[in-house]
Amino acid sequence: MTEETRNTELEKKIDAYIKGNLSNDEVKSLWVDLLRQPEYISLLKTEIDVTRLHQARQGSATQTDYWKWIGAAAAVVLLVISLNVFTDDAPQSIGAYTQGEIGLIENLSSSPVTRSATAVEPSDSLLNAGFKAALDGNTQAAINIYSSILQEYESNGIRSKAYLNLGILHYNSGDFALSIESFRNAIAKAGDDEILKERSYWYLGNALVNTNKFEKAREAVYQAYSRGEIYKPEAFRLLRRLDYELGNIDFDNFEQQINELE
Amino acid sequence: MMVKLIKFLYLYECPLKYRLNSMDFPNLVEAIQEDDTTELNKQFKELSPRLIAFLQVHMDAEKKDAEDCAQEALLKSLEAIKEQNIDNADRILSFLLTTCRNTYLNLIKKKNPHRFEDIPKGFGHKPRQLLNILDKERRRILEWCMQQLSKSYKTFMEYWFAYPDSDARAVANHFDISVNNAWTRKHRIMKKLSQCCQEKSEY
Repeated sequence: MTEETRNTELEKKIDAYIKGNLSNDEVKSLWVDLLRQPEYISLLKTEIDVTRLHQARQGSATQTDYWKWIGAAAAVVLLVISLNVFTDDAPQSIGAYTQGEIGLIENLSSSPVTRSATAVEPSDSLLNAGFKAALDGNTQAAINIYSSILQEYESNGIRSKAYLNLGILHYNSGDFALSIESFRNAIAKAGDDEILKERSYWYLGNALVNTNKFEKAREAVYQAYSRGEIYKPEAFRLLRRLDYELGNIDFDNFEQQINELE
Repeated sequence: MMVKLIKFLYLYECPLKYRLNSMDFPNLVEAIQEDDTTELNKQFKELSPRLIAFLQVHMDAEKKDAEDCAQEALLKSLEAIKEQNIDNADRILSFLLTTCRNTYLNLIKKKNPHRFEDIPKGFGHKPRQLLNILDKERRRILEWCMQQLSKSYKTFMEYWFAYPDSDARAVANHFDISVNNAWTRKHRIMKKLSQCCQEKSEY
């Protein structure tokens, strides 16, 4: 493939595919194109690997930021393990199956990925401004920006994104009641945006677990599980754990059973 | 003779863009319809690694499962394509992808019959391989290759991947280049990395 025979449209589609911004049909059509142009399959693989490497580095960076807590956490873990050894073989706490802090870079919704677009809507600029404020650690500023979107704009598309982002920020701050309200609003306004719904249901389920509302949590997690594939493995484990918590299943050895089912 | 004439006219009359999209499997339909085993073997040999890549990337299949399923899907599809008289390369390729996906899902179902839902809805919208972490060897090679990039390329790539949802214009503005130039730069970087990784391993 030379510069002259480049297929820039295909490159943009690959970019959108990696970010989960293509519909089922568009993905299929992309793969038909890729079957014809295998050199782009190699580029896709590389781009996926770079994305995965970047995600891994983000994770490590976050861990490094919190290294001071590791010592204290390790002590707590040791204490919990020793208590477990002397008590019973109960499964891991349900909290271990939920999402910890929600990664902002991958999960905050910003303006659509239309890198070839020629103009940015003011509402999209606000979404991007909120994204940048959140990444810079200015959570309150980001919350204010997203709240201003809700005050100024009527469109369901932009409002659902603002609600989702508010939910994420509240979740990370431990304000689960506010996050639950935001995720529910995001779902109500999501319309045909199935990806946004799937994400909102998953986070809603996690927030509900954190407030011990297990039945409602199960309903939300099941919605996330059945709607798509983004959270399939995590949702599967959490559903089984919730079933155990709710008495729907009665395993003698929960951990062993869940490992066998996966 | 007529087929050759049509191909000749097609190559000269079609714009390059469309030719590129359709030239890869010009004989596939013909080979299937005429049961030309030699040509079919040739075509399937080319298609097989691409379908394996589809299963590995899109479905996150293990290499061995992907190889088995691609092989099985090609054989299954052949009869179905003939029976249904599919005479369009696009539809054949689309049919092959669906068959590959279904064959793989059936395999997974056999391996793990206790899943909540055996078949995810729709074709899927994102590469499932992204859910998996990069294995150590591939990570080592990729990091080495990234180190070989020029400083400006490294900076560009870091920025692009640090703000995945940002607009290409934002990237272009940041580096004071045109949007098209931003895409070109990204393409060149990916190409360099891809070549480097392939040279360093059987990537």
